[in-house]
Amino acid sequence: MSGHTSKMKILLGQVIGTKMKKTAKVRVERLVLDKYVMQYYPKRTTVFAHDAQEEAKEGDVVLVQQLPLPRSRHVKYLMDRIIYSQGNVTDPITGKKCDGSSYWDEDTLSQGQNDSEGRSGAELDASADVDSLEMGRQSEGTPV
Amino acid sequence: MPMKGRFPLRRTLRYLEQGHVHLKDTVKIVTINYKTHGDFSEGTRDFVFYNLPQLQYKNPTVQMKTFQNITPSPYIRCFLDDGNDVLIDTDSKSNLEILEHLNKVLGKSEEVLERERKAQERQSNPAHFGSGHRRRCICEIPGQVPCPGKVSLPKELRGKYRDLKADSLKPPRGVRPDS
Repeated sequence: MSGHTSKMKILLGQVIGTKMKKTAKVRVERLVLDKYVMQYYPKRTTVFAHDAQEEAKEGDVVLVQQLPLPRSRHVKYLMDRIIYSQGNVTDPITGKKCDGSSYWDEDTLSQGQNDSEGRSGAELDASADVDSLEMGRQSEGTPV
Repeated sequence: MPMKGRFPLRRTLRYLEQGHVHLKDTVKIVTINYKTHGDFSEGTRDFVFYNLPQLQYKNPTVQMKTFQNITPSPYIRCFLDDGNDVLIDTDSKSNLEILEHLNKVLGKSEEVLERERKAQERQSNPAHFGSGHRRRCICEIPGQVPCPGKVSLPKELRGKYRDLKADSLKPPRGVRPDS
C-alpha cells in the first residue's frame, strides 16, 4: 500500500495509456443522471496519475488519489494502488487468481489462456476483460 | 402513452426518491462485480438493475462503478477515504438482502439521518433573512423600513446627524478627540 493521506479525493479508473514517463493515463467513469430520460449513464473523464515505479500497465484498474498540489500542468493525481491487474486478477473473496468465470488453479490451462494474453492489449474495455473468450471454453471450473 | 423499457418505473423521480440507503461520508467509491450470466450473480444483477440508481441518487458524490465478468464470484467492494476497503460477498443473495446488508454495514443510521434532517430544518428557518435564505433583507417586506440604498433614512436615524447633536458623547467627524 502506498502512503495514503486521509481525506484526499480518491477515484477508481482504468489505465488507458502509459506512454508518458512515470505517468498513467486513467479513465474515470462516474454515473450521471440524464434528467430527461431519468437514467444513469457513465460519463468518462481522463486523469493523469503519477506512477513513480511505472507498475501500471494498460487495462489495469487502479485507485488514484488527488495530490494536495498538482505535480505539473496535467498531473494532479497520484496512483495509489492497482486493484485489478489486466489478465492477472486476484479474486478478493477467495484470494485466488482467476479469469472471468474460473480460477487458475483448476485444470483450465488450455489455449484459451494464451488467447486472452494476446487480446488483452487490444481490448481496453473494462467490462469485456476476457468474458467473450470464456464463453467458448469447454472446461469451466465454477458452475455458471 | 406507456413508458418504454424493461421496468420503466425505475426511471421515475418518485422511484429514485424512495432510495433509503444513505452511505456514510467516509465511503467514496462503490464497485459492484458480478457476472452477466449464472444463478449466483442474479441477486447482484438485480441490485444493479433496480437499486443502484436509487443508491446513486441518494449519494451523488459517491463514485459507483460496475464490473462484469472479472471474477467468478460476485461482490461489492467499497473504498473509504482513509484507504481501507470493505468487501461484501453477495454470492446467492437477493437484491434486497444485499441492500440491507450494505445499509447495515455502510449506511447512516436512523439517528444520524434524523440529526441531519433537524440541522437542515434549523438552517432553513423561514424567519431568517440573508443570502441562502428565503428573503435577502427585511427591507423587501412592505411595511418595514425601506432599503437605505434606495430611499434615504430620516435624519434622526442617520448616524452622522445623531453624532452632531449637542448631547452626543461622540465627537463629530473630522474633529480629533483631545488633540
